[in-house]
Amino acid sequence: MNEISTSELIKRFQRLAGRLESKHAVLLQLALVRGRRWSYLAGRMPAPGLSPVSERVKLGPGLGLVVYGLDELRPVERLQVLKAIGDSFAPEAGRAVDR
Amino acid sequence: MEKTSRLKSWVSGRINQAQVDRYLEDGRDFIPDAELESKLAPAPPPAPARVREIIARALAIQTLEPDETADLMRVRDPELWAELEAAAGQVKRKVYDNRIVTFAPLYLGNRCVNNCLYCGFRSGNAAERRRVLSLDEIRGETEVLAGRIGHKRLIVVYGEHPDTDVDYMAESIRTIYGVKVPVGRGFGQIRRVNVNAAPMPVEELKVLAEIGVGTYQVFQETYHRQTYASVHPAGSLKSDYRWRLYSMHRSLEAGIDDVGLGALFGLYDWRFEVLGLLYHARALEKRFGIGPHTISFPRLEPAENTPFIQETGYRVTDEDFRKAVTVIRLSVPYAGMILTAREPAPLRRALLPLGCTQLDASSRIGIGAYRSRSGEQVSDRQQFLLGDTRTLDEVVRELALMGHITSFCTAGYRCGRTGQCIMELLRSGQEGRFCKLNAALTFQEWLDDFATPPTRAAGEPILAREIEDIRQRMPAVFPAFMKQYERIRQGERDLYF
Ligand code: SF4
Repeated sequence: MNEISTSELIKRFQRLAGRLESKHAVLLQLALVRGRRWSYLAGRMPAPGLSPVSERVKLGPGLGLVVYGLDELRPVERLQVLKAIGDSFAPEAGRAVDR
Repeated sequence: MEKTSRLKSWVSGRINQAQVDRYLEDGRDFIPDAELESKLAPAPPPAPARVREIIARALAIQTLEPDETADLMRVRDPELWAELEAAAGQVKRKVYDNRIVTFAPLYLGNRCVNNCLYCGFRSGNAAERRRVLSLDEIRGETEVLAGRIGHKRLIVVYGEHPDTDVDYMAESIRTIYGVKVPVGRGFGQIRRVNVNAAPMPVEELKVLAEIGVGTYQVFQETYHRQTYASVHPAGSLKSDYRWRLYSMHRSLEAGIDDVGLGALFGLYDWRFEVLGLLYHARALEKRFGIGPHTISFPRLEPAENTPFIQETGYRVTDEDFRKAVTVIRLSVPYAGMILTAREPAPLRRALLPLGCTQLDASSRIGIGAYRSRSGEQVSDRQQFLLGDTRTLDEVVRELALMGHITSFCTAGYRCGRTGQCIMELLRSGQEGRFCKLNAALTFQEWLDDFATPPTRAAGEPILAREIEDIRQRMPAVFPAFMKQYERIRQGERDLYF
């Protein structure tokens, strides 16, 4: 991924999160990935009604998304979400890791 | 001679004043001694109505104001204390339910350039046998901890010394994370390494952040400046109060966003230390929106050839310690609270219901002591002497009989539930949803792999109750939970929400 500033990154993330939340009812959080540590960077908190099942999507070195609600989507819709993430961030994205 | 100059040059480059000064406000730090002393000045006890208002704020998971904490420590009426203790337990259950997390300390070296009067590792203590574990030895220790005892979470402890510098820390933590031992139906592995180390500059903290450590702890020892100066001899690295005070600020700046505070009770008036911890938590909240992940409150314990401990005028009685634990629980209601094996088993049993969330067990604090299997404490290789040397199996069994589920969950920091996120989830009671599921999964895993028959017998009814509770309270998630649970029963490991 090209170097971009954190604030630009967060803006880009927020646009994507808002879009996917309203269209697919998934919740996204942006995380800094350091080894096995995924440190929270941005995104809303999972509300009480939302399933606590999350999947982690790597966006390339040092960055990842935690996605809630992906497990409740039909396979085709799930692919749409992952594709949208890939389009917004990086070609490496678009594939969920280690659930 | 060469060794001394190497040490000197290492010490002289440690403190980066700019990394302290940038956090000061008008040249002042966040511990205004006179203000703390004035809040603790003799005054009549607060009216019961005032105490109950404060309790209500704690139950709403709000960090208390310093005046409120000071008022709680002025309560004299035993019945009001009983109310405070009950409220402390309620706060804990609201945030953490009936879960207790267990861990073990792993001391990696006892070389230290400092000379703290209360510590068996101090450089001037000639009775201490010095040693730093090699990577092979660390692997051996981890195999016992993860493969024989069943721990998933460690706190690794280092003295402040060039032999245990940040490169050594990084290698040692990588080594620990790399150990995987076949056990029972699955494998044993340390899944979260927390670090207790000396204050570090931001650049070095970034190195730790890169490896993916859990929580970074630095205990202030005492928040009372004058006492701090008297127990940390002038000229030693540790004598710099502010360098230590801002360790957590630097940690958060470096990207380790789970930090642990602590004070060593017994160096000064316990009430001052409680207020100091509160001021510290509030300073972090104000600057970063993130408070402490955990608070530790070790009491001074005897150590080899360390007469200071017998001489201090501030030994904390069991009764006062009970009050301190209660007031810390109410003052910073979202924080995890660590009750260590320094305390004897009966006292731990008595303090647990006051809101503690984490216990260590099977602890050995001698360097290389897990593999030596002597079972005895080795006073000339320990920082102090432990009060509770029970095994993890015994502790898990006792917790089960008391109605607690032991959680071996280490999911949070691997799923982005850190920093501001975990703060918000804890304050709103939402984190419990994740923890409940993960506690049940990891407890089953542990029972299958490590429990003795009597512990299994004590643990299974608790687990059955938890699963029924999940079914009733979280019906929408129950099928997903059961899917993971069945996979665990089939021998899969480290599944989590
Ligand atoms: S308390 Fe820590 S810094 Fe002080 S002498 Fe002991 S190990 Fe060293």
